[in-house]
Amino acid sequence: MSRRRTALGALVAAALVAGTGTAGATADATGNRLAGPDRFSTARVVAEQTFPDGATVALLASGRSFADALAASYLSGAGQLPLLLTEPHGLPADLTDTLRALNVEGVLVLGGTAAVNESVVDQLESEGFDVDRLAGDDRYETARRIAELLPQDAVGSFGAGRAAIVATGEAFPDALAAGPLSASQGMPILLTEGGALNAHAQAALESLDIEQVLIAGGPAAVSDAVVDAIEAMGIAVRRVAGASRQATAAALAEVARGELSYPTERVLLARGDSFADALAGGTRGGHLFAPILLISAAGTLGVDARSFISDNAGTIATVDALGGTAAVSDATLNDAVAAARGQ
Amino acid sequence: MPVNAPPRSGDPVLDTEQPIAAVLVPASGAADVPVPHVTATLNANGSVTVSVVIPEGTPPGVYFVAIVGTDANGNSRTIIVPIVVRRVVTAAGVSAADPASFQPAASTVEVPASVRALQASLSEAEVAEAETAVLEDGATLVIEGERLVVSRPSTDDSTRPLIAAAAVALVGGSLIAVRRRPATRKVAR
Repeated sequence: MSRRRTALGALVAAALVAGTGTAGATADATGNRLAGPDRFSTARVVAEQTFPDGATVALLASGRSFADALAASYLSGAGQLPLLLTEPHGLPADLTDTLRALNVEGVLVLGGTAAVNESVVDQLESEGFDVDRLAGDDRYETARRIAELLPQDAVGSFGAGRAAIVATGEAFPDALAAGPLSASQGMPILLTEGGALNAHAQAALESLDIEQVLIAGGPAAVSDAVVDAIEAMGIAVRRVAGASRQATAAALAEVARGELSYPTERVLLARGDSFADALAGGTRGGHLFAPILLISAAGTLGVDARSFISDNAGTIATVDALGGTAAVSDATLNDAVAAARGQ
Repeated sequence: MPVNAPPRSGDPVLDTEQPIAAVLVPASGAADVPVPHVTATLNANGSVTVSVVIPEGTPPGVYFVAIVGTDANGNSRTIIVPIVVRRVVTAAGVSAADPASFQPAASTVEVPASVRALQASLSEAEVAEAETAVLEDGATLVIEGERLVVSRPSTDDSTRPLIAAAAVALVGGSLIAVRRRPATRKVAR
């Protein structure tokens, strides 16, 4: 707290103009790898490439667990905030350099002290950053607090009206693939146990006056009992799922393309069996209106990702690989690029 | 067509003829702070500049300014702008057509009596140096205890209270700091 400063007041002026930087369709697709030597570095690369103009505030979540980082997509999209990752008990090397390169002045830590220890906050403050923490007692309450932080009007619409995404908090793939939709459309991600609707998720659905829920994932991830509980609240529910996590990701991508007007000029490839390099993908996907596709294994593109890419061949100009070759091999990336070229 | 479809360049953002309100949301989850003074200006290039005055006494920390208005299609639209409230008073008038340009604007904050006392001892040379530091070098002003500190980006640890006080004098009694990067945000919904 040594450099905490007291406010006297401020005048803020913001020029607001629409624009997504979309490019024309092309069949000359290329691959783009976003990777560092570890998950923390990969997140930094993602942040730097996604927010080249920098950001006043950055989000910081644990890189050793997935829940808080995935729920962060909503805030990242709403405020155009990069997401960076940290070790629970100490800042990764060079993270503060990245924050400075992005012109970050304030950091919002997501998650409790078990996820991001107070020593990390102290390190950041000693480096001159203003730091706040947003947390609940567990991942479900943290997701709720993220969802409820901004005014209700900030929540976006889909289907029947004001919308949120509900996904399991017990596994990462579905919430990861839902990240771009959350970020781009202003739909908070609420986490639940698979068997019953979590009380914090239920409370957020009520407080935000949610009218439409997208369930990300099949009944094995989010049971029909959860669906019934949400519908009993008078909320319309739509399940977006496939037979596998890869198929669910492809189904969410199809919703993004077909119903949310994603230009689908870019897709993100992430490993479906490990979250390490993919956690910041939701922020990038939302910022660039690019869906995340999950691959079967580092060396296997998989039928679901391939099918989506092939269906959009000629439109997809860039395929981003999240992580190094241990996450998405060169062969897999090349395979995806070839599919985007219609080969 | 969903309300929140990705905008295309040239889409209307906010209708300046309609009411625009703002609220300051602490990132820590504390209670929201109403923002009483909000002005919106339609620029020649079609962009909209919204200015809000953060209430005096706002505690330091990370905040989101939630600007609620109506777009040209009559849809409610909420714009979220993250800010960091520090002792530094930051101002930036921004042109969307030329984001690199900015104009400093004075806040409504009164200079503390202790700072005014410092100003009396400054020479013209010190005033000139302060002007360079703040307006050309991108330095910022920070109040720490009873003194002002100026920090240049290249020398973060430099503490020059008298020069900072001189910079305050430059703007006629209103506390002001300037930063290079404008508070420009693309609207992604």
